[in-house]
Amino acid sequence: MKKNLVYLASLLVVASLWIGMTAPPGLAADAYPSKPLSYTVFFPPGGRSDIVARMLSPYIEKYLGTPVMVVNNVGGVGVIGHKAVREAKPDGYTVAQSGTTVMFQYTKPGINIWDYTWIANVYSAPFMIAVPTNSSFKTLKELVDYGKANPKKLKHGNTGTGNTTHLGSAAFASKFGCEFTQIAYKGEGPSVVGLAAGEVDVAFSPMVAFNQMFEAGKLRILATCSPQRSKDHPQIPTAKELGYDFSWDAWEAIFGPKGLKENKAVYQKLSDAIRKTIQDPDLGHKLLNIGLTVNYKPGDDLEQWLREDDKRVKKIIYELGLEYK
Amino acid sequence: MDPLSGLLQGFSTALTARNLFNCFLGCFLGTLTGVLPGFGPGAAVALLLPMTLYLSPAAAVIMLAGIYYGAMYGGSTTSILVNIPGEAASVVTCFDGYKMALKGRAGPALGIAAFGSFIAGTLSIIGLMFVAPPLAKFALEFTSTEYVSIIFFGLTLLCFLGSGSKIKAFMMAAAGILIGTIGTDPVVSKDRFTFGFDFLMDGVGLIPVVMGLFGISEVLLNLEKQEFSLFVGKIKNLFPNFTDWKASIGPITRGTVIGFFYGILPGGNAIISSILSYGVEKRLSKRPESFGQGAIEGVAGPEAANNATATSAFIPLLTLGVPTNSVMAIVLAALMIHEVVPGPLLITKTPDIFWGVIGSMYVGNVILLALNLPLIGIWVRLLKVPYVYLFSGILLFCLIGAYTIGSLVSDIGVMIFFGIVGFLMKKFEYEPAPLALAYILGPLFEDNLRRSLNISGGNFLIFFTRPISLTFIILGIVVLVLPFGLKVIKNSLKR
Repeated sequence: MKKNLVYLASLLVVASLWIGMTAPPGLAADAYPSKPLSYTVFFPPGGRSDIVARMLSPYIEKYLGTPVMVVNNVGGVGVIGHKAVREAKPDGYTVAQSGTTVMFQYTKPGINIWDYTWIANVYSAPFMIAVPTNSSFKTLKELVDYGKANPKKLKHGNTGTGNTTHLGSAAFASKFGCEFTQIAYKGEGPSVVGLAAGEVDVAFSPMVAFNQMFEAGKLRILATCSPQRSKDHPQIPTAKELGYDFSWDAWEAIFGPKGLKENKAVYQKLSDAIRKTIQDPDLGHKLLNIGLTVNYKPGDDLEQWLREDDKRVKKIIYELGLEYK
Repeated sequence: MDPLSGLLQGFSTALTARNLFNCFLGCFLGTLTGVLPGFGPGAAVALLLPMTLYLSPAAAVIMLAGIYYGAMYGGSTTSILVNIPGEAASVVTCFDGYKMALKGRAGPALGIAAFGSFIAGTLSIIGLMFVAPPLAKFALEFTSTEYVSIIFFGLTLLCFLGSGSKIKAFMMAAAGILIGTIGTDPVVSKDRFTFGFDFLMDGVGLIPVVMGLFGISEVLLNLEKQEFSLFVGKIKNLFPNFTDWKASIGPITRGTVIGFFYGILPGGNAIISSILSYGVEKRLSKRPESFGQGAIEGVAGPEAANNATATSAFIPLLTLGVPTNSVMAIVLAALMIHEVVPGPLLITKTPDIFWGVIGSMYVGNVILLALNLPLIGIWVRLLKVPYVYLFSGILLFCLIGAYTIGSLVSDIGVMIFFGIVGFLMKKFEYEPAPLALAYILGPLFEDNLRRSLNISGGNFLIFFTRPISLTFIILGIVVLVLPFGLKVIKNSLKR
């Protein structure tokens, strides 16, 4: 009995020492932040989303002054994680990063983008339109004209039904009257390999997906779906220049539970740390090296933009009949 | 750079004190996760991913690779000693390994598993060295259509897997295919058989199903036993003898080849290659009835196959940037965090990583052999541990392991459910292997089949007009028909 007491007491001492060591010095216990920030991504370790989160987290740690834990909540293709973030207390200790939420609110049950506080956009990666090198299509016009004359003949390799590559390519096709047959792959890697192997005719994806195969000479990029040419690949024309006014991005933003803004001091500190992180030139350089360009948008701008994005995503999902019934 | 000077550079990277330590750490942790049931290399590499931020990219991959092939070494230990796969790719090692242990031959079983792994590992690295660059080009010839044919070929071999009733085996395979359809439909992206549960949208997890069917069920079965410990007899020799070697060398070679090629295929993981190797050995064996009764070939082949796969799985990752399984996805992440994007140009752009990893694999396999052989004596004594302690420990590790995969309580539930199912199956003499295999291959087959047909516009001829695909279809038909054909010929000759 006595032995147990001694053991318990020493345990308490150790525990209190440990807590004392982890708390930031000179701060009262209730000052934000006083505990680690949980940073949820909805994809497994190894996915792009996870990699971006792990690249960001040391910077957030530095600017916010508290440890950051990347949590891979992948259950139910991300639905479980979205619900968990929604139910979390808006105390500034839970954030998540995703680009799929807008699509999920139409394709999965129980998700709404306005159940969250949108803090900042991290990156935007404009879509590129690629064909295999040995393809007979040398220009975007040839591709679209063939597609118009032969509806459903062109096979588009997407990264999964209902993914942004599916929606983006379908939006393009519907705008310019060339219907694609959609071929669904399990993720980006297999879809790009399928394209390079000539299994499909065309693929819409951000440059980061094509980079390696493009450099190896397996792919030809016909256009970028962005208002401006890319800085890394200025030789690639924009779709708009070629007469096809169309833009579509892969993007990811950081958000938290609804009501985060009500605690002004906390929201200010958190969003400042995230802004400094995304604007840090060091991080920008790192993201660029894996093919992503940072595109910081503060919460209000992001929400404004989301309203627009929401409309076009909704339109194309209903056109394709992908909505959750 | 030619392979030999590349390898020299690789050794100079791998043999620095720091990288040697990383390699050792990886191998050690890998063996540990292999031995602990429930903890697979997938969970281990995911947990260690944040740590690799502080390492150089080559060092990070060296360590993570060590965990992966180290787990293949360690996984066989638990399978052989307690009939519970230490990690999912060692499922088939249970069939004969455990029977060998019951006969007092745990030592030779563990020994052949370690040597087989070593031989397969080393041969695959040589393969990786010479074949990887040309294979990167060849891999583009393998489209969905070819996968369909390869899986078809694989399935025909599996007809020879079961040892009991064929009808029951088919029933279990059908059940496995059904379980594999749970989740989101790959083409129309609608929920199938999820019954409104969010956690079923991804389907039921591979590790919970396998650990439940093979691990938890075994714990439940052992609860009924009256003995104090698993094995009470005298333990015979610790190392494989000449006869063991003679029987094993063929299976090890074939296992290496099967494992090597299955590792290159997307979705081709070590579980499939080890089960295939088992099926092949049983098919080729002169005494197939000894399989499942403690045939050393049934340990040697699959253990070689899963190690070969763990090595060759690096080929698509390093040369195409395509991870073929969850462990490779994390290795990809470790590289990307360091701003290294793997792809066709990795070998020329960052030769230190490619050759450094290859060099470390040679070193790692030697470390693992040195680590595992002296341990055999200790492991064998584990059989004498009273099973109350042994099995409560195993149960605990399985539960924690299931949770660590995705931090989902539902995974624990799935594992327990399949544990009870597996227990009942064993009671009524239904084999879990066909179920597990159909459950793994079913979704892969469906995904590729539907994609191929989508591409061909619904025309089945696509499988017969492509040369590689046609070859595998013919091979599959030959395997199916040959035994019956031979019988017919023999009978007609007798007359």
